[in-house]
Amino acid sequence: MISIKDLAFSYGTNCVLKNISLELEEGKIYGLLGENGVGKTTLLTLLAGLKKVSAGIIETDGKDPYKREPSMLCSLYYLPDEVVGYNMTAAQYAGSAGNFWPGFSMDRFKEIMQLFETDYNMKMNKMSSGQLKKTYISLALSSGAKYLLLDEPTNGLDIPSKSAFRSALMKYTDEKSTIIISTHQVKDLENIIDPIIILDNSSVLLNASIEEIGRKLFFDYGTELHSDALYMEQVPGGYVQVCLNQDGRESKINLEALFNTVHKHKELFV
Amino acid sequence: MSEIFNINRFWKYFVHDLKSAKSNYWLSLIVCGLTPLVGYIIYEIPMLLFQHHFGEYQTAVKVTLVFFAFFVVLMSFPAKAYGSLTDKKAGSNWILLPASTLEKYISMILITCIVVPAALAAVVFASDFIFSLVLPRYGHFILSGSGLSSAVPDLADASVFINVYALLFLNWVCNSLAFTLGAVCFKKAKIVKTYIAECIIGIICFIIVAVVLAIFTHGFDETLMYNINLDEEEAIKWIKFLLYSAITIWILAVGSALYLRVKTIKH
Repeated sequence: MISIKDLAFSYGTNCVLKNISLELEEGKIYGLLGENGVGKTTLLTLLAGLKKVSAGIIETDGKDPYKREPSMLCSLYYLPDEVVGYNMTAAQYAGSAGNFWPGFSMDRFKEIMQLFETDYNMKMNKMSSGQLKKTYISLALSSGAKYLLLDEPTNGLDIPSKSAFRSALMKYTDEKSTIIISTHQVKDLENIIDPIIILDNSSVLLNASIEEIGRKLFFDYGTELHSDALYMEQVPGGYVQVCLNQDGRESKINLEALFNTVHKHKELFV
Repeated sequence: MSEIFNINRFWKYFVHDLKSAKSNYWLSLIVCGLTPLVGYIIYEIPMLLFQHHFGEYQTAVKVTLVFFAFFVVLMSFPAKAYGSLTDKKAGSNWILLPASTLEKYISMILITCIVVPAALAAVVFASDFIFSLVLPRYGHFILSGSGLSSAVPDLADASVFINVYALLFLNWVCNSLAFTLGAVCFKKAKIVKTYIAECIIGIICFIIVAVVLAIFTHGFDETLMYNINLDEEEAIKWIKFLLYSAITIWILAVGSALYLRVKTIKH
């Protein structure tokens, strides 16, 4: 489990995160949402141990990630938004780097690369950014790491690769894995992420499961306007409206509408 | 499994680091290793064109080019192999590779201080041996009796007192540590900035030594200098002591700074 208590982080005098407290449990795929600059990537890099917290504590299975102990690093894979292409083939890189993770499987790596229809014998520095991203996603999912921190994993992926990513994520990760996905492309991952964490103004605005959100909010996709809608958006063929769920109705959550509702009515979620 | 050092994990990391260094630098190392051949070609082509015969390629020129090749590799390898640590993308990958900081550090030191000069020496001497047999007027094999020691008689004479090869190796270690530290500290112009930093540190050390000597020799009668019955062996002993002390202090200081930088690098 990843435990975050009163976390704060600043770049010089610019406070990016403050008073963040979260418990990230096993077996869940967390969606980390927020506007540009609210600190999503910073939070992921702090969880990975790439940065040192200004205040507070992060513990990954009781260990401070910033100490960068091999046993902690073995349990974690961080996929940044931008990745680097080395002067070697994807298979060579995976064979060399992947071996450091005890659960790594080369067969699984090749399988995922095939799922992405990407040649693992291609040199990484000759790959397009999308192909490179798919190589790193394949390595992340074949690493067998317990904690996967994925920063904008679907950025740069073509449409078939986005669905391949969803399939691979469901198929190749352990039930006990904790996956944290930071994304702006909520539609790509709408049916996968649960719970949802929304960051705003350097703190956590919402941290709730899909079930909890469904109990609180009702998402209406009809043509009739509701006067009590917290948020309304016109879409082809009608409206997406978000209302308080006062009579316990069930509805499919629209993440974009949820995000905008939470931002518009912060007082309801604090 | 130890969190600080595990031999199996270290070996795995060392092989990975070696592969990565090879893919980054092998071509540059070969080119540098063949510098004496390049010098030979540059010298012999005009000779053949204008004088219609091969000229005598001087061993001294060859040795100078060998030193030049080592100098170029000494400065450029750390930046090429480890300079990417300051880059967010490559640096993050490096930090998060599951090996301890000590293992990564030792691997870095072994590669820059031992493997690279050994590989360069192998390329230089193997190619020189072959070319000295094959190419006309290429001169003697550099390591033969009429090769290196005849080209650098002063160094050979000095080895009576100080092991020149050990000193050259220590000089390599001192400077490669400094250039590795520069490679992982400076984001841009790593080589130039390291060189400038080394010069500034040298000037500061010189000033400190000068001030210390000035304090110690204050009121010292200069005429006595010429009347001191100096024991040559004792003097050489002191010179060696001071030299090796300075080298040890440098290695410890720069080596510690490098470890600290590697341990605390953030992205």
